[in-house]
Amino acid sequence: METAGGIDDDLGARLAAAAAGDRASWDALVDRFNSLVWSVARSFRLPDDDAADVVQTTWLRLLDHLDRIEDPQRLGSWLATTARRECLHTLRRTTREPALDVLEIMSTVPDPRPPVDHDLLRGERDTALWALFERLSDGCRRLLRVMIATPPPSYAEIAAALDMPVGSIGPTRARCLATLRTLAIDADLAVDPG
Amino acid sequence: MSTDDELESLLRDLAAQHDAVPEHVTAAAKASWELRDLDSRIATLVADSWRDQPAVATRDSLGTLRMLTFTSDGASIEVDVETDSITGTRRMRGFVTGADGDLVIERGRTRITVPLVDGQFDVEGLAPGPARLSVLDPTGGRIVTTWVSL
Repeated sequence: METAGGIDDDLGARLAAAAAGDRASWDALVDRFNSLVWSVARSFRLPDDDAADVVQTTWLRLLDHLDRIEDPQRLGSWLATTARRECLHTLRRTTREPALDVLEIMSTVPDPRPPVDHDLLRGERDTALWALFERLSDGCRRLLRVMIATPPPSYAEIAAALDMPVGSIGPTRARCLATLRTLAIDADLAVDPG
Repeated sequence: MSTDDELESLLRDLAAQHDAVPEHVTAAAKASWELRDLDSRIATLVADSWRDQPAVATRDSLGTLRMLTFTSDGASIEVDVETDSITGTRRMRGFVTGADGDLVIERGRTRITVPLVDGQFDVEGLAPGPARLSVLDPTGGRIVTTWVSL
């Protein structure tokens, strides 16, 4: 598992230090997990302002609970769960459609983009692939958007973010990536590295 | 053809390019540290009508009304939060028991003081976002709620 500055090996000490008043440890926790929290908000397709509010509220709630996180290794899952609940509150407030259950994926497969030139520059390929990603079904996009946070979240953290069983993540990931790969091939987009 | 791990890694790179955490969001998360309150008595959220109802039940007439109850050793703050369907601003109404003074609504570093009339309050035009409430603790100091997003 990739880590940010090795903080994952020292989460308990960082949490304890933050609770004891060490600002640098708080900053380190934000640096380590903020991409995950942001990704959860984005997985619900929240616009910038709403996503920013979710992130801020999530960290403020941690501030309230700093000395009550029983298992530091589950901090990422706690943040993901808290962010997910805040996202659902935001969606309810704005009376948007609730997010689809991630297990109901693949019900709608978006139309592929028109075929594109084989000689796309990498940057153009990347932009086109990201556009395809954004057009995935809500279920697939939610799973993958959380999964591609930096550093990569654990399956436990992804499960917390999506409120789905850990055992479902691997198979669902495979199906969603297969769908994206098919869309990319249909659009003549290479998804090989490089 | 790439492997799943390679495709996932490529998507992670794309997310970093196209949807990275805005710097101001990370800065705000770090700055929230300055809002720690170690001196006040904490009133915890003991009831939340949205937590207790399935999230899919969004189409009823109560869909935009959220009822919250915070308590702390004999004091309680009950709040109804309603979203104006036109402006998107929030209205907070409720009452306080077991505490004194005005109600203070904290929005980050901004504080809004709302008078309590027979323990009741009513304030409109609040912007969305995180907030916490505080009142005077009759035994000294203040009682402050945990953070909640309006």
